[in-house]
Amino acid sequence: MKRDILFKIIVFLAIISMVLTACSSTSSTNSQKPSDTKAKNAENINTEVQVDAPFDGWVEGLPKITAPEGFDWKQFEGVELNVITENTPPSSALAANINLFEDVTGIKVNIEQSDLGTVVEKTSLDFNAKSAKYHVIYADPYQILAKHSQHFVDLNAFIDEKTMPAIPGGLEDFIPSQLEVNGYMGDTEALYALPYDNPTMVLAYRKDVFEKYKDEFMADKGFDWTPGPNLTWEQYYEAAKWITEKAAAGEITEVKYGAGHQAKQHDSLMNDYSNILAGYGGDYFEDTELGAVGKSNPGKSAMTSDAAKKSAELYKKIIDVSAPGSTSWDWSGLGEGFAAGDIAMAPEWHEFSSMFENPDSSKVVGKVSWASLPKGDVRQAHSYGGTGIGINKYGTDEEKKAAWLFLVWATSPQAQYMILKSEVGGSTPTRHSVYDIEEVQKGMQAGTEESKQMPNLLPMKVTLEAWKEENVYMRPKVPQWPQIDTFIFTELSKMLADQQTPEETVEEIAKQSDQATGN
Amino acid sequence: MAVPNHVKKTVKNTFLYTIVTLALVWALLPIVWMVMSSVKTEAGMFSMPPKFFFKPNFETFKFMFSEEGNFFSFLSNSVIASVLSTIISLVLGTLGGFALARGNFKNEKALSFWIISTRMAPIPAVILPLYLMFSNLGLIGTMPGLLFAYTTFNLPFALWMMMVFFKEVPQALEEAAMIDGCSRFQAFWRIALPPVAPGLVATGILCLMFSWNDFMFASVFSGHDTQTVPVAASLLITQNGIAWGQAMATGTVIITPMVIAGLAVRKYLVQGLSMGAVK
Repeated sequence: MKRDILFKIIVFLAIISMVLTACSSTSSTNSQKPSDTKAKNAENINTEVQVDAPFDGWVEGLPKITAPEGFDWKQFEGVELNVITENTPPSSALAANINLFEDVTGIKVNIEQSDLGTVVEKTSLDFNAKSAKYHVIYADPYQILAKHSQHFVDLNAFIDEKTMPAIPGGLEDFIPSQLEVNGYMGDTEALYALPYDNPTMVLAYRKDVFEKYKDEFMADKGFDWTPGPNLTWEQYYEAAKWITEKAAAGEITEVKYGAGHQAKQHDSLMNDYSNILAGYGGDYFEDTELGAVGKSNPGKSAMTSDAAKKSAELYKKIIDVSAPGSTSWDWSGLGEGFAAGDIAMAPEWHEFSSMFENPDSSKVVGKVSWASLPKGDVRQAHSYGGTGIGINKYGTDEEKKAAWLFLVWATSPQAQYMILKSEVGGSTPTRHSVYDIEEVQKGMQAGTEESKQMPNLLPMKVTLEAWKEENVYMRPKVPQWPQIDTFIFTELSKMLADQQTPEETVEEIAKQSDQATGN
Repeated sequence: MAVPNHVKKTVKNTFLYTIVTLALVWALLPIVWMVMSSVKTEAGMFSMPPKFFFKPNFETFKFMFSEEGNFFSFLSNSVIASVLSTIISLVLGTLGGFALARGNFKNEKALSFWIISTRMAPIPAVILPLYLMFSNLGLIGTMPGLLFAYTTFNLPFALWMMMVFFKEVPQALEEAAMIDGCSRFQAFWRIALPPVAPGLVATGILCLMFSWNDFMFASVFSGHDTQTVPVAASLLITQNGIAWGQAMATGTVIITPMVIAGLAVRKYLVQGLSMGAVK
């Protein structure tokens, strides 16, 4: 009888293994180009003339959504699109205003929002099953695009198709560094996604504290501590330590700690540390070309470099004088800590500005200024965390074309502006043209009516600087990144808990990284 | 000097009550805290020292159940999926459990073990094959899909539990009933089923709890229109922070039906859960 049971278990496991093997797809030989991208009534379309799409509420100064003359915007009426996305402000804003798109196209759009882990899991399952339950995918560059680019439609097929609507304002209207990291994988031959959101780390600080104690600090330490491009990470450490000590002594009452960080054992810790690592000229791999279009093989780890050791040592020093909650905070925890009024400085994603300026969730309304992050020996580096949206290639041709209309609309300057103003959205646009209009320019000035209506614009001046090639930090876009990210934040966390030295930490990250990549 | 008995008893009781009180505080404080926070403003929720007496604020609940909050849709999905899955699992599990308890066929033990082993399989190992099957059948994102998913883990459990409960009932009773003229089904329905009613209730409550609390299957197999309350709770953790007020209110809504159901049938629950432990 025992043999019988054992035999059945083995057969059961064998069947499961076969099913798993059959379902997994490590590579695909299918072309990413859809077989048909033409409009249904292609023969009646005049591609020489562009006509405004029948959307209402055009905003003056922004490129309009257009289609060639004769294009029928209702030709995909009845098609149902499933969009899977992280639970982000732009997704909420699109969901709240999806009737604008549905009314014009007759396409039904279901926007399903989840946490990023669930989006990654469901997307992977859908791709591996070669299913098209989800037609439009929130293509996180590191967790989805780098691993699954072969499952996305090459959008060039639609861009080149003259009978379909074009990208309003063209690809050149997207922030170039965001188009590279969000849209491509491995090379720039195929475009898989269009930039959709763009959180970037900059420095939030309490201007009331920095103005009030500026002279006293300068007398003590001999330098101007005002956050900005000239402040170094060493000076940031000095300022954080000084404020924490003065607050403990009761000489500063506005805050309790000089700095706060998102140093929980979590993806946030890697992002937080990366600002310093890259500032001192370090990176996670020797190949320095991984942060843009990415590569399938990253090569050897660069974490044994002097820059990595120095930045790890400095990061440890900074966390030691920061708010003790830092080691249990991700970006949300840090945001809440800063909004509670306990912290003088915090490197944080710029779109947290709306939280800090909301009286329902913040005690620091009107007291916050934004600056670029401090610099290291080599440069300023601002971690970028944005994402694109792309089309699942396993849908039918009709679904893919309907999905293209959705992409054109959702990433258009007009929709991005709507998202910026939305009460449930508030995410900042990925388009140059939106930042050029007068209302948005005014919103970037503190104290204006526009800045109160659109508080996420307050950090945009420094964020626009942070997006410049010389100031932005894009983590390596490689398929192995989720695993390596886990090694990084796990080892850094051990260092912060005094379980290992900074030197041991970077060496361990290098060792594990090389094992994972086979280098 | 001998310690008087009443002093010993007092010390013993004091010790016992202290332990029970600490255990209650340990178990109930987070729940009480959550329920209180659900009727506080966000500022009140994090005020230090915390206030235990305050004017309750039901704005969060009002918002959740408004058209904009859309919580009713999540709640109804949870109720439909968990109740129907429990009913299906109980019906099939009772019939199957009876067959396994009374049947006399080849490889009966191996079959029983195989059935319960499907409940032991780690979820990540079964998600992909299930997803593939559901995808081919067009069940992803649909309510029948969610029902099937819940039933995949409830049915083996119900079947195994009911088999154990039926084994506790002497087979001679059914044989006597059949000699007196009952059919096989009547013997099952009138003789074997009534004694296992507490077990049936306990199994039902546990199946209901498993499916009501499930997040993993719901997050993968539900879609835009079929998301359940635990999935709704996960949506409150956004890129830009946690909606604490709604999270507390959602937590309160999640636990309330299960607490009520547990209290309503606690007598049967205790009886049922102890049935399998008789021998």
